[in-house]
Amino acid sequence: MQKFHFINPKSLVEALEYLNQYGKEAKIIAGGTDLLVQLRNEDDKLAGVKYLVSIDSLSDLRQIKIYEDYISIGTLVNHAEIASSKLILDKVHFLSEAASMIGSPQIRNRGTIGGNLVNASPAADMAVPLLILDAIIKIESLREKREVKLKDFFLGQGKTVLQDDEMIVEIKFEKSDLNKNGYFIKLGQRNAMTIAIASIAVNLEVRQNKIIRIRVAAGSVAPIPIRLTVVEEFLKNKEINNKLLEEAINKVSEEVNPISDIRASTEYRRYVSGILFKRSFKKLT
Amino acid sequence: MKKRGVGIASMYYGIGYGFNRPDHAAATIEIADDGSITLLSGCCDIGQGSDTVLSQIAAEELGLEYEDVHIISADTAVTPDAGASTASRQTFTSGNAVKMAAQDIKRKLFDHARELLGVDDDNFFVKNKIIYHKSSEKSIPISSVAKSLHDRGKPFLGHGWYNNTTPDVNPETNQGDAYATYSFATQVVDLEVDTETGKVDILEVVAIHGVGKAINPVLCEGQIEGGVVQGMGYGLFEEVKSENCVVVTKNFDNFLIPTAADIPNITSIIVEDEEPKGPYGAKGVGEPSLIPTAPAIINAIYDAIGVRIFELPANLERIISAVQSTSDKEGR
Repeated sequence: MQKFHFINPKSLVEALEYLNQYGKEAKIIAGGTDLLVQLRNEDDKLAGVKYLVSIDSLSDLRQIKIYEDYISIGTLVNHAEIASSKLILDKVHFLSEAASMIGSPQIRNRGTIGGNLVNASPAADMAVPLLILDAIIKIESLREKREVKLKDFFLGQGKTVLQDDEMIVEIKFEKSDLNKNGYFIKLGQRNAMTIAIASIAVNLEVRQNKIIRIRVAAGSVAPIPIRLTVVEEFLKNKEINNKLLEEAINKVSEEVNPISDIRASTEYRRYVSGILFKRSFKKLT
Repeated sequence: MKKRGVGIASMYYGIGYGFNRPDHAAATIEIADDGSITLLSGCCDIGQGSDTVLSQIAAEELGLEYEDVHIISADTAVTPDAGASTASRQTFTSGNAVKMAAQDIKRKLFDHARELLGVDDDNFFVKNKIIYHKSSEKSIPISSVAKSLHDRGKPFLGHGWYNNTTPDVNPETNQGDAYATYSFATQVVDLEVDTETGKVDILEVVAIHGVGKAINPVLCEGQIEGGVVQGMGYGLFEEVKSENCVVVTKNFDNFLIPTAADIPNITSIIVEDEEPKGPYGAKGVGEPSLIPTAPAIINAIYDAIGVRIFELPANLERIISAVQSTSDKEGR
């Protein structure tokens, strides 16, 4: 177990001051569902970390808010809260459904939406539905406040655009009725406590059997959660029919870029991504 | 598409070490002057409930209540050796040793009761903590006899040693009866296979187990349900993988076992075909409970999608590659 000093700031500014002061030696802890495992394993990711800055008592960061044209989720909102939020269920039900499939009840009660993104796992379950919402990440440090599109947030496995003195404060996305026609599907080996072998999210707008807008995202099939832009471009403005769907399924399998690992092979992941896309698409049409 | 299938598998399994390997257990019982007993057994309760079952056997044999038995088990400083909690052997082997220890001390109680009641023969039985003499209809509480044993300096200890070592099979022909007794079981699995992803959902398991006598039926069901879940893990999830000779599945995030969300309804049916050599007819159920599960799952998968899985676990990818190779053959 890696040794650390535990700091419990009482305000966001105080937390940012610690990050500013300690830089690489500090790490934010929220739910700790990933971090504690890394600490116990003395993971290389935490080399040089001496301070854990807890944001657990910063209740301002733990709110779901609806504004005139967008919805905002505080970085500290946990998966169980997103899974059961009436607002989220009503406006973007697939985000709630994604949250309800994460880990176990214990993990959902501790793990936060911000933590799920910052950990930057290719299998981050919340990233995939947030990608099709064109989510924006609000980032703060003592130096500046900035916004980054989620699709630009991940740099690689375990890597993000966050600087050492920065933290996510909020995740926001457009409030739109188009969000209601979205779907998230995750495939794992078992029914709970399962890391996705592949996951797909689709958001679809159809008028008179023609695809007006489509967004497709995939998890666990590339170094980071990705949008499948080739598939999106291919489907845009097309008439829906079986042949089109067959072609789209093949394009999904081609566009994903999975590795073979302990959970599944490259071949299976390519194949099953197409299946998951088909199921999502059929759910929405 | 989801396809449904039912599979059945049966097994029989030797109880104990068999094949002339040393297989024995000892137990000691001391009766206190209030009639309660302390049972010492080397049998290790690893969660299967042997402390409970052995206490039940001692109480039953001595006509005492379960609450009268204080068991000290698996403490090598004080308890007599009973061998390992393995080979589905402890109810059978330690159960017999405990029963013999109880019988030993019962003989001592009867001997002294004869003196205290002034009767000539050993025509005694015990019930509800009382020793009854059949022909004279005289009786005396066990606690009174026990107190008198202590007061008069008579032995108040009982010992049991049960030898379950069996003859070996014929070394030339390999024929013979390798084990003292065998447990039998059949399990039926009802499941659904997602033909596109390879995901198997087990809907129900019916597990029918010949256990001899179920000394504690609820513990027996617990053993069966636990075994079925382990068998599911063996059939569908568990796989040790290594890369460059280093095991990489070294944590429960990638060495998978079933979660509560994967476990179906399990119906346990206990069949009591009493084994004459077992304590009250009991045999063993520990390992038998998980043996038929994986083969029943594999048979059910075959029933559902017509594909034989020859390598465990039957995970998503194995099922899909089996489905694809079968349809390739049909395509030719």
